[in-house]
Amino acid sequence: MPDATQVMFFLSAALILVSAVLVVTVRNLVHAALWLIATLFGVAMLYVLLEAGFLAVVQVVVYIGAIAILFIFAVMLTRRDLLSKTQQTNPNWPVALGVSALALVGIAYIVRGFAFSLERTPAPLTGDTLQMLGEALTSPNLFVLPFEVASVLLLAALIGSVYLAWNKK
Amino acid sequence: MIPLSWYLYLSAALFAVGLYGVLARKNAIAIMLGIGLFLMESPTSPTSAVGNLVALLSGVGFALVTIFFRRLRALHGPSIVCLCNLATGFGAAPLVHDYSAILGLTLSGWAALILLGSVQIGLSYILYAAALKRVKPLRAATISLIEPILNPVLVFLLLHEVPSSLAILGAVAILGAIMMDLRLNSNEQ
Repeated sequence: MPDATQVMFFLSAALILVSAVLVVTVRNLVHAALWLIATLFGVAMLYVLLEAGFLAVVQVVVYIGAIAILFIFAVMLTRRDLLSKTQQTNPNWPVALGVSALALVGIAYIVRGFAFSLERTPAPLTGDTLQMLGEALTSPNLFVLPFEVASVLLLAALIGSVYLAWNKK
Repeated sequence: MIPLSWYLYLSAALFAVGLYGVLARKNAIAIMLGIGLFLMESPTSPTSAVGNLVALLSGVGFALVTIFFRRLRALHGPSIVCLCNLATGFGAAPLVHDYSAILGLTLSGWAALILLGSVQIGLSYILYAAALKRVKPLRAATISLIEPILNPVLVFLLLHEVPSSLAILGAVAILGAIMMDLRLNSNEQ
């Protein structure tokens, strides 16, 4: 008999998978972006189940609030023809279906290989997780270098997009 | 109580859906090739993070080599190859711990070294540079991925070492992607 958290897990998993399948199959790209929001919301629910409240909030604010809306804006502002109900898949979609099924089976096989060490629930962190995250991101012994590298990468992407969008006379 | 493995299975399913989306909506052969290479790496052998990182860097380096050869295709191919490999040699020289092994080589050892250097490295790079004058970089890199498939085949034929099932799966994925790429894009020239 599944307990309450397991029921919540199955509900959010169903939400994630159904909306993810709809993202890649619906023809109207704006509808696909809206289903993507549902997927991201399901992932936020998973974060709550994992007692990662901060990540859940970030997921909603950054992914749903910013990135999904950005997708919708980009679709509406750039390509009007993408809004039409034309076929969005290319001719080799059956091959793609086979490959992704193969990938699913392969990854499940790999996970099953070391599943004996995973039949436990991860222990919840105690203490102020937000403070711990902040300290981990700025501590020289932990993640300050990857953090700074990521910020340089984002800066490069920013400059690159400005260059691409620059209206050369 | 939710076991950790449930999250992993869910992630795998979500990954498969995303993979289908990328492959079906665009002609993303490269991602399929990435999966193929991923599968060819046998998980039974002890892997290290450093090894994977080095492999990743070498892949990026190979991509850069392809792009630069394509850019420099107006120049003399063999001289660029010589220059690049000499620079690599000088760059790698400080990493050698023990030079006595090199100095103590016999005549047949030197002959084998020269043969490997000039044929396996030099000739193949010169041919690659020559091919890049005619073929697009993505096509050239795709076709050259046949080489890591041929290595286990040769090992199997000569030493009778059977490749793992995941390696065979990866080889099938790469071959399928190359066939698909050639079939789909053969009319673009």
